[in-house]
Amino acid sequence: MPSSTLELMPGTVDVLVLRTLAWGPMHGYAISQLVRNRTAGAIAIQSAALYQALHRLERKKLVRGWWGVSDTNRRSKFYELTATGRKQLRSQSTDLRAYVAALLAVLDAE
Amino acid sequence: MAGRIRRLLRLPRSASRIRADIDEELRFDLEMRAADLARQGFDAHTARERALAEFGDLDATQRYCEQQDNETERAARVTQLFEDLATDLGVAWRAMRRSPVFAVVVLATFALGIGADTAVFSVVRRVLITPLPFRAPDRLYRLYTTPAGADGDDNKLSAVELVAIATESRAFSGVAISGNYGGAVYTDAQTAEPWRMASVAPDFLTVLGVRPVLGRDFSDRDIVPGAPRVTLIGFDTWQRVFGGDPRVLERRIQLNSLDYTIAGVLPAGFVMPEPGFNVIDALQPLNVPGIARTARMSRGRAYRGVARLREGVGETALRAELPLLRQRIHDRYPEIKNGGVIRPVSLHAAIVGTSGTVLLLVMFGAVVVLLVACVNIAGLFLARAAASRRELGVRAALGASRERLVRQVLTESALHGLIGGAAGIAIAVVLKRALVALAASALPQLGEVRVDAPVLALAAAVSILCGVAFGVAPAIAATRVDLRETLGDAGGRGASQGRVRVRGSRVLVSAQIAFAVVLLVGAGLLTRTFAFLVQTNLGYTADAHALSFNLNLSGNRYRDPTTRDAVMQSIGDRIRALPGVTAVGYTRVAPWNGGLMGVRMRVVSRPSDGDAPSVEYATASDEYFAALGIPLRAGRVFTRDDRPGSPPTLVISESVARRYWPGMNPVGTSVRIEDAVPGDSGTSMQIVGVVGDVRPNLVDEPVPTLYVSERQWVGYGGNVIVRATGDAAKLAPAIRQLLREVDPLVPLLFPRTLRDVMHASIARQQLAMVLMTGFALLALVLAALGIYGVMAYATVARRREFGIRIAVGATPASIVLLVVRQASLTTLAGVAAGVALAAAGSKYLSSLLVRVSTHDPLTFVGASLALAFVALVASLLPARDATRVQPVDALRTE
Repeated sequence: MPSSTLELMPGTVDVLVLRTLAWGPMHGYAISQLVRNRTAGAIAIQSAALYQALHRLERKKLVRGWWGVSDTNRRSKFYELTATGRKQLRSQSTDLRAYVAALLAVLDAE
Repeated sequence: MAGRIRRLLRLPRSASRIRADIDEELRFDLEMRAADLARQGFDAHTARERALAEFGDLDATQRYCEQQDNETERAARVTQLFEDLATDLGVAWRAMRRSPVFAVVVLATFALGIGADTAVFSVVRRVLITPLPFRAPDRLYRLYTTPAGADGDDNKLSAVELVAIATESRAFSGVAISGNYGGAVYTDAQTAEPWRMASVAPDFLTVLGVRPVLGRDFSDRDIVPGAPRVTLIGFDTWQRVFGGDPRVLERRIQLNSLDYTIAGVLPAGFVMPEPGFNVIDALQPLNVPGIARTARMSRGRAYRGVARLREGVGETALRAELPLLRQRIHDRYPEIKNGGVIRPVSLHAAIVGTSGTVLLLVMFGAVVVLLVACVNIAGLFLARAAASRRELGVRAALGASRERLVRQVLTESALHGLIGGAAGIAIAVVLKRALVALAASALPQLGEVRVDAPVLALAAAVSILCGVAFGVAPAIAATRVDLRETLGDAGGRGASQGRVRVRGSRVLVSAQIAFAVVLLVGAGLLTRTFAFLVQTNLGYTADAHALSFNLNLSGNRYRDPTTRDAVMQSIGDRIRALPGVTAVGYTRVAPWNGGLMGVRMRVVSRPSDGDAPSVEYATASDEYFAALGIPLRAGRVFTRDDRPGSPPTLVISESVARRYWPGMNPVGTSVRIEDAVPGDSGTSMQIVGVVGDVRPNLVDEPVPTLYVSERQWVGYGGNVIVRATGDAAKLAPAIRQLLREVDPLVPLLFPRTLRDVMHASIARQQLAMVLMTGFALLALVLAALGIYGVMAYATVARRREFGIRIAVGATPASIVLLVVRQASLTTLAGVAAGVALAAAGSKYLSSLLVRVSTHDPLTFVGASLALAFVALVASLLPARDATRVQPVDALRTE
């Protein structure tokens, strides 16, 4: 368990957002909450990076956004994965796993 | 919810809308975070500060998101355009599949219209639009003269006139002089075939601005007496006979048994600038100055000129110069007492002649048929738009914009236009072939007619244009969709709305009827002309029992007239011996081939009156009159005793007898002939008989003619006419065989029955008549369909009214009357408009009409009645349906 909040490595925000949205449609704030809770605060996505990622992913048609109403009964923008997004997530997480495994193999080497 | 619908309907977001959305989204994030922090114990101000700090670069994020969203939007719009088109096409395609009969009717109608138009246009383009294959062809003029006295051939000029114009005119930079248009026989080791040949002055091609593709042009050296004979051959001839072999130059070939050297090959697509003689196999040089110096030949009107207007000289200057030129010629050659008025006619107009009128007429007919078809289809679409009003209303209620609905309607009609147009182009290719075959003898042969890229482009453009045009009326209807009306409790069409729409359709039907009347009147006038022409008394029997062909006796073997006479006699005897042959006659140039020449005749015993009118000079063998069936009026025709050496004899036609010897019998009188008679003009000849007048063809007037005995003025072959008891065309193989036995180098040229010859002379009228009648019938059928459609629709719309009328005791007859009366008003309006249009336009037909007035009452009344009758029949069917309305059903439908 790391002692403080980790800085995210570039390129990992997109895959993190996609992975989070895989649980279901949600608005931006819910995404950052979920990531924070899941990692017990170890990973925090900066909001600026999160929203830039969301709009970038929407342009790439990996996520689809629409306006809905939040739990607190406020108008907010929701995002969901598209079929393309789901496919992208699968290949990117495979890549990322391989990358991390390779990294670990080097780091753990005696 | 609204956003979801917006997205469902794919409505685009504006730039300001995008900015506001991003602001709201980011603000939501900040406020949620601040609220969370507040819950953790921060005071409100600190929570907001901290949330803002945690967020990161807010401005940069806003800008980045805005940029991303704008791009998303732009991409979406493009995608949407295609998606909409795909949707519209899908809807249109399903609509076509749902009502296949409608689709087939629309497509077939339209395909026929487009097909006819494209085919006719491909011919129009070739003949009327494509420039002639000469340099600056619009500066070329065909020269005509007005000969004195009788209306002879104004086509030809004398050598002295042409040379004078060529050398002295300031307006013209040159004159392309030609003559001796006719056939020659090409022979080599294997074949003997007829070639089309003409003689041209050495600078002929230079004046026209044409250069040989191979070899050299003619030069003045080629007309020096004793120079070797040279020829320029046509491109197609080069390909056909010599397989395009470039070594053909300097090769020696035999034409009319004379040796020629091929000096060059004319370019592909070259045509002779000569009305009715465009295709050429070989040219040979013509010594014009030499002829002009020869007293005997210089004044014979045997040559044709095409003059080129000098650069910078206008038509006004040209017209001003012509009288001066004429005066100069007249002063120099006072014996040319012809009035000598030289008329320049634009070469294109001269070559196209009245076939231009025919083509424009046919084009007009085809366009009108397309117009009727379009109006008809527009009516069909309008009627169907009424049926789909509910669907359009629903889509409008769901938020589809008017623009979107109009686009949907137009996509459907344009799809019909495109598919119909594609089918039309296929039809055009077939029709073009038929048209070219039908028009072969009616149009100048200016090269192959093609349905090529420009023609196809036009057809495609017209198809799409028409396709969109069909949709305009229903599209306007779509923009007027009234939500309350279509979705409200009325659920159907309001009575007044329906009436407006029916009125629109009725105007369309009236227009169709008017167009159909115009075409029917045109077809009627041409048919009456044709009927008159076919019945024309030619003065001889031009049927399938008479075969006409040409013989060409030339070359060293036939230098001696005695030999030629003997060969002609021998050939005549052999043909006469064939089974079924009753008579064999011949003449130098048959009347239908233009005749030999015009001369002036002087009666020996009378004082010279100086200005004798021109009469046609022809030669005839003893059986010529019998073979053609020209009746003998007085005296006798030639016999075997009118042979070389016996006293020269003459047979004249009735009108010559009437003109010179009114009320007297000219037989036994001696006359002298002036001008251009081979031999000397001083010989006096005795008239031995009078025969009937003949017309050269079915269109032209009879020509006063005098005949000399062919045997006394032996030519080099000529036009042979064989009369038989059976089908004369069947004799051709036997005659060909027999000629081969006499001389293998003398082929059978141009064998045709006289019936075919005469049909060719009215080919233009026939072409115009056949096509106009076809178009008129097509328009008539379409108009009938239009009336039927609109009346059937109106009857359905008035079901309720009819039901009530029947319920309160209206008889079937009164219901029929009601419907028919409505139809009659539409029909009458259309017929009246059509008659007015036809009366105003029929003058454009006048050059094709013979013995029929442009306002021929029979035709106008007939066309009107025919349409009225067809319209009546077309409206009776819906009328019958109207009488069958059950009062109860009628009340239930609403």
